[in-house]
Amino acid sequence: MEIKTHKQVSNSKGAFIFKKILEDKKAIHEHLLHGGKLSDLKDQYKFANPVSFIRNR
Amino acid sequence: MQTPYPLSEIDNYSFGFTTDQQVTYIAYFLEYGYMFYDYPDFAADTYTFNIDIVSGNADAALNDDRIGITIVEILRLFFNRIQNVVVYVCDMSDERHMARKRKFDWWFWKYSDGSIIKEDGVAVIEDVQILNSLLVHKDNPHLTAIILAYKDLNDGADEK
Repeated sequence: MEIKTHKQVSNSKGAFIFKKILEDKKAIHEHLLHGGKLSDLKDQYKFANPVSFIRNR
Repeated sequence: MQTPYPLSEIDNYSFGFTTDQQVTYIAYFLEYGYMFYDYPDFAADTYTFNIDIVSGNADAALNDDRIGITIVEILRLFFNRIQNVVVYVCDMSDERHMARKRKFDWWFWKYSDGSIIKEDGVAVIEDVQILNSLLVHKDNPHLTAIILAYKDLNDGADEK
């Protein structure tokens, strides 16, 4: 196992990406917290299908 | 030797498992092709990884090593497709993100079989630290380019 660390700083591109990831994460978390299912959100987000990657052995 | 909890596929979009303490987790991957849109060789293979608790009290399972074993097993399954690239961003919704990061790092260090390379980063945005990690298969043909792209994602601080 290899573990490396980068010290990073803010920038417009990275900031946009990371903010978007956190926003998506929070929105999905709230949805699940209130009893929703991921399938309810399939038109808003592109979820990977677990079966598809198991079959890609 | 401890084994992963049995995984169940939930509505085609996630894996779920329930611990001995009756805490139910789901783990899912979201496509994030635009994260590396400047890199067509691997942009379409890029995902974020997320873990959520959907029922039960997380504090009840704090010392359950099988959770970490199961999370790493999910990642191992995902990297059966070696082209896959994963960015994991710690939840910042409360003050426990450092603890989450330490736990994720510990699980990865303890249970990974060495096939996945992990790079850690800290993005500082508006004085807030966003802890994140890149996971990539050691045999990914674009390994070096992916790591450089991950660094570039954050290093272009002056690109306003």
